[in-house]
Amino acid sequence: MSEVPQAIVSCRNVWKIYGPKADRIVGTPDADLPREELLQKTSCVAAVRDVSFDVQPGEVFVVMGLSGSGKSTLVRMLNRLHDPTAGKVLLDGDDIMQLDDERLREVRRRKISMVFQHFGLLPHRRIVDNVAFGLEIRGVEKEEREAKATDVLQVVGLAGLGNAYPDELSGGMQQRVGLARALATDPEIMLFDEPFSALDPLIRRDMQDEVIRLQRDVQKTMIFITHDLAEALKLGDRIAIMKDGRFVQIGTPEEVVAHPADDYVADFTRDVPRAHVLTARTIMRSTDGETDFAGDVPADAILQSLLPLVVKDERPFRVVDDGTQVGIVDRTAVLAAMVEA
Amino acid sequence: MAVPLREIQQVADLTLVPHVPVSPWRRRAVWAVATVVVLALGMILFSGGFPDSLTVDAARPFNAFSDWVITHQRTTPLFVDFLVPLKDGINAAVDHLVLQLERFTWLGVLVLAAAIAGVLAGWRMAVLTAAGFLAIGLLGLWEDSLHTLALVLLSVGVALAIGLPVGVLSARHPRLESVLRPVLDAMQTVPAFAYLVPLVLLFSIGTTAAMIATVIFALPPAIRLTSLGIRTVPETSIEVGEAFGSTSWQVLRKVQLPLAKPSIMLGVNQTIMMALGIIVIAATVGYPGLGLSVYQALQDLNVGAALAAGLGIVILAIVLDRVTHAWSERGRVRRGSTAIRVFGWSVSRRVGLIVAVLAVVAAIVIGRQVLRQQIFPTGWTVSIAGPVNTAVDWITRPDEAIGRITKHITDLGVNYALDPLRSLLLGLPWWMVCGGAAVAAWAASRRVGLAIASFLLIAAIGVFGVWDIAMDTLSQVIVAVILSVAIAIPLGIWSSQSDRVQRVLRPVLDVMQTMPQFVYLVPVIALFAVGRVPGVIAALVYALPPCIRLTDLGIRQVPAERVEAAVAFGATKRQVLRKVQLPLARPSILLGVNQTIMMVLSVVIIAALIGGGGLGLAVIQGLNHDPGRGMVAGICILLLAIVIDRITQAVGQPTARKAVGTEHRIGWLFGPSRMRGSAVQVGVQEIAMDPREEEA
Amino acid sequence: MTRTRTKTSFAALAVMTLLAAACSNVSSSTPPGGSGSASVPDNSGTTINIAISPWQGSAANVAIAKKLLEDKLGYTVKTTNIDEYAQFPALANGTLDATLEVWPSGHAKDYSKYISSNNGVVDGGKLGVIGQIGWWIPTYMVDAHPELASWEGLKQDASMFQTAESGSAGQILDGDPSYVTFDQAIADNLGLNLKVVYGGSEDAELTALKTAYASQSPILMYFWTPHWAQSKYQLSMIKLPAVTPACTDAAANDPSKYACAYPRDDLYKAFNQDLQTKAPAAFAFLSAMSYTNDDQNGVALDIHDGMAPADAAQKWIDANPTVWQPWVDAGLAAQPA
Repeated sequence: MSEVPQAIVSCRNVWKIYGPKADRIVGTPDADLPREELLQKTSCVAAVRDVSFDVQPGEVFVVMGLSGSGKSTLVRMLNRLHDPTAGKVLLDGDDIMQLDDERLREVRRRKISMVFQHFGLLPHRRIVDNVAFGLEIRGVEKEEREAKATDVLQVVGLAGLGNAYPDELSGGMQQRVGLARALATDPEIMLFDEPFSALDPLIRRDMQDEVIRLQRDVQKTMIFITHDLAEALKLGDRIAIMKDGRFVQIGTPEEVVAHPADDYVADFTRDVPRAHVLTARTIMRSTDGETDFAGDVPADAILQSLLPLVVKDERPFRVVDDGTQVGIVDRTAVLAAMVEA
Repeated sequence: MAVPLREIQQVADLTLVPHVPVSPWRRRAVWAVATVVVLALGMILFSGGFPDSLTVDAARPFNAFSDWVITHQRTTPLFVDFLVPLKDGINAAVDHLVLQLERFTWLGVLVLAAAIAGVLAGWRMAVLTAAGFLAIGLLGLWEDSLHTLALVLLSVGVALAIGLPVGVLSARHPRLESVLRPVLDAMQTVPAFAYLVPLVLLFSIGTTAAMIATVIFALPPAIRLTSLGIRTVPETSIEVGEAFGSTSWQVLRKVQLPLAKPSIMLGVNQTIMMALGIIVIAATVGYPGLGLSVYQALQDLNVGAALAAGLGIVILAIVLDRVTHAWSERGRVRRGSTAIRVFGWSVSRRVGLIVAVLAVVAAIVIGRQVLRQQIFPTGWTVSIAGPVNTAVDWITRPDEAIGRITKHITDLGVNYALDPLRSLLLGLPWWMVCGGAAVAAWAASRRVGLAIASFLLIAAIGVFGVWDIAMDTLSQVIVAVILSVAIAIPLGIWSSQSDRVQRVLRPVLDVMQTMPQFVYLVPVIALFAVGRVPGVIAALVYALPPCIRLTDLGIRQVPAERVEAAVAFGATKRQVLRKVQLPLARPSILLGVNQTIMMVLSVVIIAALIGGGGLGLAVIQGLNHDPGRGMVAGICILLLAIVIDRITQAVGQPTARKAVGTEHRIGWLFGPSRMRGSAVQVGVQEIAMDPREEEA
Repeated sequence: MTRTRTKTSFAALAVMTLLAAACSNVSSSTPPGGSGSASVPDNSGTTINIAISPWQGSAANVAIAKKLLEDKLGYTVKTTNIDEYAQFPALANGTLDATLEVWPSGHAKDYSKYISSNNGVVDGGKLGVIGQIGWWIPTYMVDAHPELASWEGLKQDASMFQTAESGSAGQILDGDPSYVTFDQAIADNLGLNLKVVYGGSEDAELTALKTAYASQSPILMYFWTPHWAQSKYQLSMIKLPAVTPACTDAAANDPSKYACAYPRDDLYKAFNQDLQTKAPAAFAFLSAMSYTNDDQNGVALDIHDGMAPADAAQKWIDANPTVWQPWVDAGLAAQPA
């Protein structure tokens, strides 16, 4: 990835190693040992290895990996719930390792909030008090914060449930509360640690739609951890695939599906309904001097929408982006892309 | 607090990993033979006991200290300007409290207690409290109970004022925790008799000394359970606090303390039970009340009167236990609700409160103006002393047949268990006994540190010059523990299989643990003659309840799916028990065994009072003549307790590398009732706590 | 919110309760004061705290002293039930003013530490009651085995006292281990096949006695008089070799050389050293207080049989004015004008 100066969140060669004398491992050949060997040799476990990435303001950046891949550790280093063993985490260009306790708390109170995997609601507080938690910590007066919390509850569709207690709500509703809590402090960055993994599929879909809607309405920067590729593809502007503590690929959903970086990623993406992910842009080729076109298709049209067109007409279509032709697709290309595994 | 079934399963899974070699029995037989050979060689080749040349006079510093106090207490500022005013202030405060309670009149106190219980814990508890106080009045124990209650409330208040902050601190600073642990062990294990003399020297006799002795004994559960509660707050909840920018104080106040409340409340409950548990000791430093009544009645062999006073203690214990339990439960069930239900009607809290206040005021006014009775009217009291004494006399009447049977049991116990064991322990060279402890420690924990520590601590007993009597005590402890476990586990299993058995057992166990032992020991001595056998019986009675309860609970907590799975494969009830329930209940049962051992050690002193001898006898002997030696003997009880405790805990832990500094000595005195549930739960949770870093 | 409400509840509850208590200030008890004859001085501002040791003889002493100090000398008397071990420290720092029955044999060390070395306690003179520790058996045993009247009889055969705890030897049962005893030394030095077994407490010892007595079975124990059990059970003391200076001197440095009977105990009183200045009349009264074993036993037995101590004391006071009048006179004589 090329350096982009205005990144709101950046990680530079971040490592997290647990175990005795963990800080001495980075930079030695041991750091590259496979997990088992490293554990055998040093009693250390490398959770995150040499991860670098940038997230632009307003972007939804998804980190996808199986359990144990280090993704939860990674997200916890972004607000310093865990300290990195090595490397830098920059928020707006500032190294958060340099913040003293006071300023770190300020960052957490205003700039960055988090949605937790098992919701992390405090069972002894009413819903409204859970939502107002961040504001309360910040020292906002009771009336003001309750008013704000009530508003946010409305936003996530839980109006009127403020006086209930968490265990009186279903899982999906509880996570809406978790979402509301993270929104209530009006942060620039929201961290999501596998927020929907504990929910039923249908509710999960609702919640994903909710996030998409929110993102559209409030334009937050979101860093989203998941083990579900479909979720990653659905939500992510860009996706990082993580394996054994490393990023094996960063790219847009299409890039990942169309051009898996290695077998591991390919394995993941095999069952993805490609027709729904791949776009004309991904499968187009440059003109071979053809002049007879069946028509124009937008560059971001998914294959699913191209299918009926190419079935009806054997001629190639022009792929158009912003009014200019960027390439062509034809029946062969679409079919080939769909069957390729 | 949901039952941490998953944790229990994990623990069980870990412990159940079969490491069974080809023939376990053959291996065990080899080990047994080897052990016998080694022991025999030890007895034959070496002289037994601990060499005098290695002993030191550990009593001297204590005695020097008391001599210094005796000569300086009338002049030194420490006494004149600090301890004496402190003592006088505390004495005056308690006297005033009792006086004030008496001014409320008996009716006022009764209704006040019921009103507090009602406001805190619901109308059922109000009824229970009123019934309890009425019963106390009817038994003729009103005034004594007021004194006892005042001391218990004050001591518990002080214990909590110290225990909660210290518990929080120790949860946050593991080092403090590890320093505190042996101190807390000492507070609970060293018999109060061992430090009564320094206590009296420093604080004289009366309320203050009684309060301090009570606080010392009652403080540990407050600290332990607060700390445990804080430490077992889920990591996520703390992360939530931190992620939103809480200061550590905010995390503590808004997340940890509220979530630790069940455990803290259990600590409060246990603290109250412990305070009631040593109320008889308060009598020995000159504090009046139920304890003194028990004590004096026994001096006259008036078992009936002693039993009545003991019942007073039991009633207070049950009322306080049930009310605090219901209070902590209600906080979670009814939170936020503004209505309370009384006899099926919904009443707003405010109305309930007003009714409570009015009732109290009315009761006080009636008590003062109409009844004009400060103390429960003597005309209404019912004496149970007469009938009880008649019954006791009948039970202990001279009867050839019974006499033969009890004599036979005594002879059997002494000749075939206690004497041979003591001879063995005394016949072996000291280093072999210490080495045995070290081997046991290593086998249980695979930790060299624990093995070395065990060796040194046992050796220290010899160095302190009480080897012989300590081995006497140890032999009794071993016998008592084996018997307790042999009785408790089957009873616990039985109780777990039948709700009716459980219901019948529960109040019996309550009484076993709160009734001052001496009350029922007098008939025991009459039946079995003075000696070590009644001592063992005393230990048995006291030590059975936790083991029964933990066995019962452990089995009942086995997840239903596991039992269903076994049943689905056609297992009989017996097979389910043997192959599923018992193995899964193992951590809980082992915790019960550990508790049994600690309980047996904690009644060593009681055993000594009825002829058990050993370290307990040395402690009592020290009281009048050599307090230093009494103190040393008390410390040696502690050393034995620590070694045995750490070894048995290591056995209970699933893997050797687990949890170095953790703590699951909860509910020392699993006082009456349901709180045992959560006690064990936290205990089991503790065992199950994995030093897992996080998902990595 | 809930918590706040609960807090308010308690505040309200507390306030109302206190109000109620304060408003109706009626039936609180008032001290009787001034009910006696005109010659009773008013010392009611001075409280005398007297220790009651855990046996009835002591309760009898204190009940009588309390009654007379209150009725005849006008003091306020408080009593504290307290074990012996704690009495000297408490006397020394003034928590207790007096204890009326100290057994010298058990408190030689305390005497030197507190009284001889002027550490806050003074000797209050003899109580008049004579204590005797010894080896006791129920009288029915002497009737059946007359030779047991003396220790030589035990030497012939002690096997009847055998128990599981004493093994092949006969058992001599001791009580509270905090008492000073020489029983094992006496037995060994006299060549008796006896083994000391500690009952561990007086209660345990008494239970053993009661049980044995009920079935008329053998029991040999360390015991003493005066004690309420002496009136309840017929007990005989076994004659041991007479106490001689030679015997006590031999044991002075090495208790295991002790080989004779226990010396008789002249029970004495002990006071806080400031009692004389604080309450001169009480000091004089208590110093003069002295009566016999029979006096004490009578009152003690009444208390043991369930009479309230104050009533038992009054009964004795009514019957024995000649005994106590001199004590009161001594007190009145010391009363400052």
